[in-house]
Amino acid sequence: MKKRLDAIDDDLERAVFLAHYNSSRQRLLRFAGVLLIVAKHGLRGLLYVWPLALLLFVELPGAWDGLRLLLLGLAVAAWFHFIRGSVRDDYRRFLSGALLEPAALKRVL
Amino acid sequence: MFKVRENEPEYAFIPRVEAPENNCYGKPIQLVDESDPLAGQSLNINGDSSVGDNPDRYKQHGFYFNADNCIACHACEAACAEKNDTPAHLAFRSVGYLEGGSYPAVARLNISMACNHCDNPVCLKGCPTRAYTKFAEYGAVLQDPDICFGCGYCTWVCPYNAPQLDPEAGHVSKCNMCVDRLEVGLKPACASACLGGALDFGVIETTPENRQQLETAIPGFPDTSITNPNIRFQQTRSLPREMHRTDSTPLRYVRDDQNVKPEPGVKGGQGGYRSTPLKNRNQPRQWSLDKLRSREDPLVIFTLITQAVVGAFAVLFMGPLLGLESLSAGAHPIAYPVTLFCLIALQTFALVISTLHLGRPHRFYRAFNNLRYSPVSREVAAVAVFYNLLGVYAVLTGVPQLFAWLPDGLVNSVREASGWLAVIAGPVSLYFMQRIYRIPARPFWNHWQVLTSFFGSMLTLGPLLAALVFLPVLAYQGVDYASLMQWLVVPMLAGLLLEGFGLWRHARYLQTGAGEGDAAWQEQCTRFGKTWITRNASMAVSAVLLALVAVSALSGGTGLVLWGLLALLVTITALVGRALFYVLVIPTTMPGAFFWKNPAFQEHAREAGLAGMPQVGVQASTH
Repeated sequence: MKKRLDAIDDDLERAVFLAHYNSSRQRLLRFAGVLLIVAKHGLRGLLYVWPLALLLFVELPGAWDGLRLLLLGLAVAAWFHFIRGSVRDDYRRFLSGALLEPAALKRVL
Repeated sequence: MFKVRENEPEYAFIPRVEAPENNCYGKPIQLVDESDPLAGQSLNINGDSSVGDNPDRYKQHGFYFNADNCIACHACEAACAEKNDTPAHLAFRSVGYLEGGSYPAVARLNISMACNHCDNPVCLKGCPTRAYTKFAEYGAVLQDPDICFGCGYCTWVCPYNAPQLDPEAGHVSKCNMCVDRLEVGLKPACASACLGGALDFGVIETTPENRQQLETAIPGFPDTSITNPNIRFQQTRSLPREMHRTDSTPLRYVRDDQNVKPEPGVKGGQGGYRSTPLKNRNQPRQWSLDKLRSREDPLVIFTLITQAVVGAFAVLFMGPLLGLESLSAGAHPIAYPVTLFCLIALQTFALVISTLHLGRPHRFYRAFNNLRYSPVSREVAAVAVFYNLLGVYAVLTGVPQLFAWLPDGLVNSVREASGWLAVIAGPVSLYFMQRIYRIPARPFWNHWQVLTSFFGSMLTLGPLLAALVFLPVLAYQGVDYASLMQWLVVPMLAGLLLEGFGLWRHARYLQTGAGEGDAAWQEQCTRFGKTWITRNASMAVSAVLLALVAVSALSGGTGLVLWGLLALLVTITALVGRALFYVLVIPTTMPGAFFWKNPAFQEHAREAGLAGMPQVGVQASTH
């Protein structure tokens, strides 16, 4: 496993690391990693909101539709609650401060 | 590998002595053979892949505590804190006190306690994330804080208060037996630092130097049959007949030579003291409403909502089958499916709330990791199954147009099957929910009353929730709802009676059982006396009023108002009852000190603002 940024004390080594870390390839890999993490935790969060999420595809008459939108809002809020911390946690764990290889991305799943 | 100092004193090394084949619980001390696949593996401490050369590597080790020699200098605590870099509000090892006698014949018993790396580690079995492992190396029970999501269930089940929940870090951590030191033959930091020769360490059942006794218990020590702890005591000084805790827990320990018999085969026998509540029968009854709040508040909400949703769905699904046409989807093509979705929304809300109880809520999904042993994992899985079956039923009932491409017969069959399965899965999830609280280390909970309480709430709150939606709808439509309410009152009354019966039997059990349960009973009657009596009276009044209003067959606006007031009364009663359930429990923890691990001091420190200073070592009340 390659060294992480916080494990490097030497200034020169740090500068070389940062040059790699800020390269467009590494940014692209981190972006791909974020997408994978969001997909992973998004699906997990969906386990607890999917019936409400399906209300997106229906319409109810009159005042009932307001209730439907309220429930839909709750579903989105709950889903966001489930994924927010997880994405941040996994980003710090797998992507932040590390030089990535495409094969290493599967570790985030 | 841990670096041994050149001038390391001899007493810091674990002595090499012959150990018997089995320990006093009948378990082999040699945990694995040399030929076992588990043998010869590295512990990978801090990424170091080397293997220690301790010849007793695969033998169960344990602490030896000589209470005669302990002077409460806290050097063991300090050494542990320094070795493990624990913050001020956390300690893997603590020294607690028991006091007794009267001047000038006073006596104090100091007890230094950390994890006992038990033969039957209930923390390991209870942990839903599988953060715990009992290693073949030294028999150490180790916990990985990176896996832990901070539910704190291990702190509930451990009778010795060994796992430490850190509200600031959001996870639990605990004594790791200093396995890095053991790998090079050194005793753990605490045992090496002991000034008075009180704390020692070695292969279990090997009598250390200058000791005679190998007792498994000492006054203040919980029942060893819960976990089979790997600690042995010596306590030869005579103590007063009655010892008190100094940590404000309303418990005392009374010598009971008649009833507490030595365990067969245990050298030295049992401690001979049993826990019993303080004599506080003359204390006035109080409300203590401000003390009903606790860290477990999210669980109060979660358990009640889940029970209400399970009950409400059973009513909605079974009601029409039992002839209640006014509750059917046919009679209310919009209100019925919307009610189902509202139940799902409530359950979603409850699940979100329940994650707020975790130190790391975003790791909620790890709750499924230990289905084999952990009641928490089983509960979460069972609730998830119920939730998803309810979801399938609601979606197929409410938005069938999404499935128009499927054959009608198939959709109807799946809908019916999911409904029936949800009706079964709901009570099953409540069964697993109550199993969480059947903990020997928490005698107040360890009774079947938890089951009657949870099922009682399901029967009471479920129909109430269904009525909350359908009564206004029926009243709006101008339909007489009196007959519906008369039907719904039957399960509600049954629920109240079931809960009341459980509470009555629970009260009897508490007064005759373990000291901690009896102490909780005393707290219930004094500190929360007025609240408890009012809750009980409120349950009785609710039952009578429910019967009266149902018999009088009131309807219209007056009926709605009366039913609304009754619903409010029943809900508040349930909320107060569940809050009492969580705050009244007194666990079988080890005694604390005057300030450290003293709930009364922590309360005072929070009120006085001392808790804001980290060096005072008072944990944050929330994370």
